[in-house]
Amino acid sequence: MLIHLERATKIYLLGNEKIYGLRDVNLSIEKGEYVSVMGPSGSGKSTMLNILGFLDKLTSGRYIFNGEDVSSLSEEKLAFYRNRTVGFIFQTFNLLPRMTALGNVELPLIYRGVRRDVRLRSARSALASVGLSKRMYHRPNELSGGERQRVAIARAIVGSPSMILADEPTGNLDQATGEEIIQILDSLHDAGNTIILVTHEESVARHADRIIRLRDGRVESDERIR
Amino acid sequence: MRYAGVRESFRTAISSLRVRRTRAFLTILGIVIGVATVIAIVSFIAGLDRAVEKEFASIGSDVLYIGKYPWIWTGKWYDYRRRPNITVDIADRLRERLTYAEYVVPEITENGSVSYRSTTVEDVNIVGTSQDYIYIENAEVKMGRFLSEIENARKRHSVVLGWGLFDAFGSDQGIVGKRVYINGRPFKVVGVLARRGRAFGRERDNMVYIPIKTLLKYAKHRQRRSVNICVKGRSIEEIGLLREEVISAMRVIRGLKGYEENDFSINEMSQLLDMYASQTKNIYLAMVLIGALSLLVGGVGVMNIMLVSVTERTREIGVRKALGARRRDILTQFLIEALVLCWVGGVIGIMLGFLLPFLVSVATEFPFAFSVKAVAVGFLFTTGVAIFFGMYPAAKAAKKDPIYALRYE
Repeated sequence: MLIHLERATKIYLLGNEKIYGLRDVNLSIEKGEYVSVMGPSGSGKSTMLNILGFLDKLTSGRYIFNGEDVSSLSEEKLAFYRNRTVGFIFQTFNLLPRMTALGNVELPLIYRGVRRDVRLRSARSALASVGLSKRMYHRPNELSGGERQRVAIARAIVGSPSMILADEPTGNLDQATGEEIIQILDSLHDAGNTIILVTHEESVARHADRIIRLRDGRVESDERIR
Repeated sequence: MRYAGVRESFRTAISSLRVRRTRAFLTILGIVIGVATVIAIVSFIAGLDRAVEKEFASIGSDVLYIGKYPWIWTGKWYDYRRRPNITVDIADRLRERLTYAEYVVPEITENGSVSYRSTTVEDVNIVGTSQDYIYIENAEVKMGRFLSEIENARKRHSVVLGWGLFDAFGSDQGIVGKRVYINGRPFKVVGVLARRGRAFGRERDNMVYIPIKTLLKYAKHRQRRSVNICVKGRSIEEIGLLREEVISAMRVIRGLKGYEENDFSINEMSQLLDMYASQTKNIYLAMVLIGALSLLVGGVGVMNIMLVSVTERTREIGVRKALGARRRDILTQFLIEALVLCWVGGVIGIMLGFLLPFLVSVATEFPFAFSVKAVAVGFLFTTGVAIFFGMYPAAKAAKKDPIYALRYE
């Protein structure tokens, strides 16, 4: 089991008011699974993604990752886990504008302390795998939306993470480009990667093996569709 | 503990400076001016030091000056005044006793007028001394010869003219052997000294040299006059031994008992250098600190711009953190950016800081010295400013919450 949440609860304080991001969520995801997370805004999708991606910590409950309790890691350890185990793909791409595609893809390896030549080799092959060999030295503003998202995918997979967390990866793309991106995710899954995909498009969600629906911080339904 | 991507941080820093060229330029202007000020001050000081040392070099560092009064007064004036005078006789007795001394030369000066034919020069320094004077003062004879021992012993009316007098008397090539009048008394010119220039603001060419015994014969209040005795050592290494020897010889000559203090002073150049150093040290320090103040102003500018930059790049910070950057990685990145910013300013400032005093030294007589110390000081100050003023913005960047930072628009 890769991910196991046990009575996972996240509470935000807004003044004196308690807002539940997650409420007693129990959830397990196996290695190699392809999971879509759906739900209206405020349902806890982002909170879930932040928790799973080590960007945030639970208020109560437990998060077991790869057999280890990672519920209360130090800031330093969180950064370590983000670097080694997570590949993020964002709706808005979040590429660094002043860097080339190659530079952006290199970043996770820089923070891992990988030697420059090894880093460059990995980054090139990651870009090649998303079909961007010819655009490596372009900056984000010289690339189309689809190309930018493919750079982001290359950045997510360059360090061979345990899971890929994609937050509305097609949200800023047109229909056709969005499909291209989803196809890349599909092929990553076929290659054995664990993918957790947050989306509100039913058609996108149906690419996964399993759809988890959230509402008000709780799991509303958890159906296996394949 | 590893600091990932230091090299990458430098590249990022340089590229972000390039992107915001105008802003970067305006920011480093403060650093440039500050560093230039510090460098200029340090090189002016180095130039002053060098000029002073040059002046001091005119006093031989291997010469002790025995006098009634010290050069640097530490006691009460009436204690010094009570001391007995130093006489020419003491010089003669020292010359017999001292083994580490090469020359022992008495000296006394008076002001007076010197006339040759129809020309009279007033306010001339009349130096009474002995034959070895030129060896101590490193003076050079241009025409004729210097004074002789016999002229002193017989109190002859012989005179050696300084260059200034020779010049004032129309550079008469045949002046040696002629008669001049010093304070109305006839003296025979036996030689002329080459030009000596100035030292300690004293014109050393407007002088004439006569046997000291002749001078004392005519000196007003001659009983009250104390001479100075210059003792030149055989070598600089033995100056300490010479000093000891002079003290004990003087105490024997004066018949001082063990408990009695020296009733004479031994002066030397190193005392002046020490005094100069101690007197100016604090002034120089204050000057450098005042210069450094302008650097602080520059530092505030750097802090301001770094804060702006951190805010503008909140999202970048979020992304970096999501990709695994630790706090110290972000901290390092922004500190390096502040450093690069300041170093660029520092390099320009160092160049300007040297150019300024150089131009001044070309235009005026003010001394200027290139000093490695100045570069080191400039570099250290810049680095210090960068770290001091870069730390707060960098820490602010490092502390940003990645979730908040990723959503920042």
